[in-house]
Amino acid sequence: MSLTGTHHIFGGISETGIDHFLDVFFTARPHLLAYGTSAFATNQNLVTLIDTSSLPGFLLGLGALIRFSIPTVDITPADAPTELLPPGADQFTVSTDVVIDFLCGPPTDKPGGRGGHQILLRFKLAALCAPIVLNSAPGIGSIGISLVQVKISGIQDKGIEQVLECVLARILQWALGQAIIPFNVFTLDGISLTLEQGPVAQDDQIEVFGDIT
Amino acid sequence: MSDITLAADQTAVTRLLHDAETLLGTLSKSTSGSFGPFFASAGASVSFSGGTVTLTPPRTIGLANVSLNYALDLSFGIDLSKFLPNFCLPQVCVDIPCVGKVCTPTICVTWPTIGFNFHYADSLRFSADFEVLPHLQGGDWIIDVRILSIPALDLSVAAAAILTAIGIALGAAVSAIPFIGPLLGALVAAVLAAIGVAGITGLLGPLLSLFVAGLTFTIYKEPAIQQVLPASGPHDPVVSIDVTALDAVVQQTDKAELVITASIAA
Repeated sequence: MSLTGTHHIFGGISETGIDHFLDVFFTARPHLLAYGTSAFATNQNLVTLIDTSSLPGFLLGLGALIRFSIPTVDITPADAPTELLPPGADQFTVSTDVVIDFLCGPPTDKPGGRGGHQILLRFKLAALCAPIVLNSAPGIGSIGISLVQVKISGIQDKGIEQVLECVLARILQWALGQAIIPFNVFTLDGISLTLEQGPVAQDDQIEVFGDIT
Repeated sequence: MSDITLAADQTAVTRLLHDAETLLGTLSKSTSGSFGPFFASAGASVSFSGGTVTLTPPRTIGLANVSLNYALDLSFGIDLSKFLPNFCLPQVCVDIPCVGKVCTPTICVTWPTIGFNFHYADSLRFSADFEVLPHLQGGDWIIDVRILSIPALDLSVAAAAILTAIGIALGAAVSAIPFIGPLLGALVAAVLAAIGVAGITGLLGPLLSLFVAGLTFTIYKEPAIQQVLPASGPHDPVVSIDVTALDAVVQQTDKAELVITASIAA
């Protein structure tokens, strides 16, 4: 079966290609994988500041840093049926490790330390996603990531698990929303693509079909 | 599986090649030497257009009916005395009453060497196989398609037309020379016979073949490091990918496609 099918141009990025792209993207913009209060967000190139200035005074001194590892993807069909969230038709799963540093209490005067009572939480997160067209015109366009569902593992309490999934889904939606893949990645910047079909997640890659502009 | 796969069917590759023909633009070369019995210098400008693509595994692109559009500028030097007999008008004397004998001088005609320029533009078609050649050069990934062998260029029709046009140009160039009127037809016929179709093809064939030998169209040329996202704020710098490997092959399934694969650095 041909790659182009009934079209003239085919572009596909494989799982490893997406992984490499996400690696390059989040290495260039690491703050999209780390969100922290002012005690942690001392360098906003590395950590996105969570603004807590409007919180009442008695909550000041509480701090948090939420960090994601650089995600990896599994594009349908699923690599293993035992995955936390196996991708279905036209879906892919983004997997990442999450570490939450929670600072309970005001900083102390200990030299070099953030002080307070620090709680560390680690778990795995899977996000079921679908590729979407963000914009498309002859010769230009880009593909984005739509978050379908988030699931975490390693948290015993169902209620806390759901709260974390809710919060992390919001953060991840924002972070993945920045990970835009222009058509020219699919076409190696050498061919001006007019999108006719896709993006489609299938056969372990994201695929687009079209014609030369 | 490669990181990025790009496939183009024959229709798309045809368009890529037509774009590459336009990108190649007009090429120029010049030569000089004997042209039949004459000395001539010749300049030629050539461009390519059109053609239909046939893809053949593993790396061949057949291009049929490519138009080779050429413009010739020829400069001839021709010694007319080699074609026309030198002659003298003898002295003629007449006895005129009351005046005496009056004689005209002997007039000898020596034919000059003349130069004339000739411009001719036309096109011819050829078909040839090209090889797909991906390579990294100076920080750019390039996919060239290079001709495999020099095709036969059919110049017979063009040569006859050029010969006729040269005759007309020659006639115009020498028409102002005194006494040539009665000899003009014979001169043109003698010159054209001396050049002949073989003379034209003997000049044009090698000259145009220079343009076709090693003919290379570039269908892809992009930097190995490609910016994919611009900077979008103080904490969001440019995002670029580094294409570390690139290949291009022809695959035949239910239709033929040029398949380009690339790896990007993590």
